[in-house]
Amino acid sequence: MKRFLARRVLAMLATALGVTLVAFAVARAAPGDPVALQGDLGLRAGSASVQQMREYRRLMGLDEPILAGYLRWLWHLFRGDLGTSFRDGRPVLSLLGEALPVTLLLSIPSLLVGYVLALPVGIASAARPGGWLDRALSTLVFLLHSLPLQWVALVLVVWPSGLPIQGLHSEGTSSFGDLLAHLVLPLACLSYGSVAVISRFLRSSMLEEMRQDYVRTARAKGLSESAVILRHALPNSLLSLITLFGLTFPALASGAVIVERIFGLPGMGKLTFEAVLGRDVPVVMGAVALSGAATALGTLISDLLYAAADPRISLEERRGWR
Amino acid sequence: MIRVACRLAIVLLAAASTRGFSASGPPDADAEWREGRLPASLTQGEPVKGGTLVVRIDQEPPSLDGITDSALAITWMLERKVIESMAQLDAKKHPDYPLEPALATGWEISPDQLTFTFHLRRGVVWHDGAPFSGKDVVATIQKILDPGVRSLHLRNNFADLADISTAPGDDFTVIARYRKPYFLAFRALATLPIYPAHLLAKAGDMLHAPIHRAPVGTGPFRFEQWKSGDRISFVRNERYWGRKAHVDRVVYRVVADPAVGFQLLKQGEFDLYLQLQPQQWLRDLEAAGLKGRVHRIRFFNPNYNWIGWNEERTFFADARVRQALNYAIDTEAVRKTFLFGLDRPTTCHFYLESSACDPSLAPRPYDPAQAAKLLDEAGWQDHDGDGIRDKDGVPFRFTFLMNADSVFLAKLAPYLQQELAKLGVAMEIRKVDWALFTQLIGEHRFDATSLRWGNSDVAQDPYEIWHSSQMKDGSNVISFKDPRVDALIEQARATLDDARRNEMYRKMGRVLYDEAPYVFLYSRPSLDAARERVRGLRPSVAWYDLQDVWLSRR
Repeated sequence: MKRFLARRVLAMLATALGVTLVAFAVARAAPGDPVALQGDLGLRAGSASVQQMREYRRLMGLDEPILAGYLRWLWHLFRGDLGTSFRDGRPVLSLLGEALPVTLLLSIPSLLVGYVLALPVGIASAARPGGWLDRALSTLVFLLHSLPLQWVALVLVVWPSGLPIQGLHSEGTSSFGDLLAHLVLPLACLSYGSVAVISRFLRSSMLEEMRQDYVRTARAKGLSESAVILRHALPNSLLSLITLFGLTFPALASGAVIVERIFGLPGMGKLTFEAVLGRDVPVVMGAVALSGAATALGTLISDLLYAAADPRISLEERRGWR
Repeated sequence: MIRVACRLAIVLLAAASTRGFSASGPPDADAEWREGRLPASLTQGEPVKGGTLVVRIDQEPPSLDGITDSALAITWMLERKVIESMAQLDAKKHPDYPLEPALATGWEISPDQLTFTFHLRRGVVWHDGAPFSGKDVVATIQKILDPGVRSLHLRNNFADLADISTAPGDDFTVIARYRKPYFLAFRALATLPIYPAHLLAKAGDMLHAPIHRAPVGTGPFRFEQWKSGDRISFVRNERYWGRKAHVDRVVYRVVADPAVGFQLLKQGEFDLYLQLQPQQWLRDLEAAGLKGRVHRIRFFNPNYNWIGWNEERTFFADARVRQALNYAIDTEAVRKTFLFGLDRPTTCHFYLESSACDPSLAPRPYDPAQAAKLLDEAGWQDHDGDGIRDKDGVPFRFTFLMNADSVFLAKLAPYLQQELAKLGVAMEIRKVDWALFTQLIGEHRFDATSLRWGNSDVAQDPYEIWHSSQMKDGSNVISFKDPRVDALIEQARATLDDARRNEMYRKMGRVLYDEAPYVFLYSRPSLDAARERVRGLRPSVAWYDLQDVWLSRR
């Protein structure tokens, strides 16, 4: 187990190095000039001379070769420093520190809501495939899945629901109830799509399990249908949800550009999107590092969950290490 | 003819909004609504103290530091309100905006126009309680001139400043000496926002100092709080030296999405709503039943957009070709269909109501026959019969570079393409994001493009955009070169008499009109809305003076 962990962590680090190097190279080599963007330099009266632009580049560290820049970034990262934003000069770490909690406040509840709603839908659909309930739920779920997010969000905004449509708090209040009220509409937007995906995923993996011999055996020994489904088929099909969880985990930290913009929530999506448009390399790299770490962590967690959930999988044996 | 009538209406508008009720009888509420003019009655009555003014902005500024950032939102929020200058534009005197005293009580300009002496106000204190003096002015200039500070947008204004200091033994007199006379030198120095010397000394490159995001000034409002991505607030400065503000607080709420913003406006969340979309301003406000609950505001700041032809390209080197392309565009139809008729046509580089503009230069009419004739004369004919004009074996085929975010250009570009195709000119469209766009334009790597120039003051120097020396590093991105224009610009720079300088600018305007380097398009208004209870609001090129605003309790 320890050796497995060590190997995984090493592999994670190697992946992280590769990911950040590629991201750094792309961010630096992308066409478009952060210096020209700085206060519209060069595009208005009182603009900069070439020499002054060069001076800005030096101040921003844009004059050094990409590899040298990357190594410097890595060295600073190693010392816990992600640099400062080109745009406003604030430390990237504190920008992430402001945006990440907002994003987690949205992503974790929406993931939970998604799973909680999707489980009964998936199970009910798989219990009688092709039955009226399955067909009704499938239609509903596909309908939900095909609704464009931007449209749904705007409908919710214009709908006179009485719920707040902007920010996390009303002016002058910071009660938990107020916060919850502010979260309802964004969470609805973020959850309806994942209900569709997770429930279809669960349905198909349940149907797979239902065809297995052990299910036939369970039925043959006279167990009730609900016992067959809930006690035998369901636990096994949940394994596939672990994979799905591993894949969706990094999205927890990466934010949701559209929902954040419409509902005025300053999370990771807004931060990253604006940094990319502004060619704000340090902030882009901070976001990449964070989502890289989340991806690696997600994979690790789902591996461990597999081992815990499936007695057939032993982390030692699978790799022949004894 | 239409143009003259339009001009007249605007003059009336200005008169009514500056002098209160006009003598012409009862105000026509519907005309005010239609034209986006605030009723004169809103500036009357006894101001009431108290309340919070909530302002919607669509985007957060990068900082609250005018030394390192030139974002318009910083100018709006800080200048005159939080950070003051020695003199300021007199907002009541539209459209010329002469200077009036602020932190200085008076000034003298030497006969050779090279030495400026400012007499500063005594007894002024910074928001943190420290006393204000001439040392603050000197320290602000020094910070701007510091090569380690990201202040290029200001530094260029002081390129010819020889030295600046307080008078010996008198901290309340500031003397600035310049190397050569320049008409904007005085105005640039007098209207420069002044920062506190004792905080500048500790601020380093400004980017990491507290005053980068929490400004300290002398103005009628003092910074309170900035909640990132949400709101920025200011409170009344009780120790202000001048007319104290009426409202207790001003809160700027960041609402990026226009549909959400409009919904919140309907719910009565904002007192002042900045930048409505044209269709929201024109139709949705009335459709939502807000007429009577809000006032529409339409105001023109110095700005214009244009289509420019890169004269380094052989197609566009001949003035006849540029004129032809101008005749090929129905600018009036474009204005009405794509812009809801809210923008105003212009043919002038300067503020459209300024006397630097020659009102007799009307926009070129839509005349495809004239366009074809001019192209023929210039030698661009379809010699090989492929439907595309050519000259010396080169087909007239070029690319129009545009910023992918522009809603207006997304409509204009296909229209342009279609009109030019009828003339036998092939135009392709290339859309890029803003970061790449600024780079390509700066490097002159485009055939044709469209952009908007803007300025926060009516007084401006066309040098940066039209002088041939600015082709390389300046904003003369289309490489326009004309010795007559160069000479007029240079003369005007050393002419401090406004009337004589404006005469030169009108001459320059005539040359630009004939040479047609740009298709001058329109000046865009700011389309705002104010809630009924807001009083004392006055739009000007210096935005709104919020210390005069009060909230009616009725």
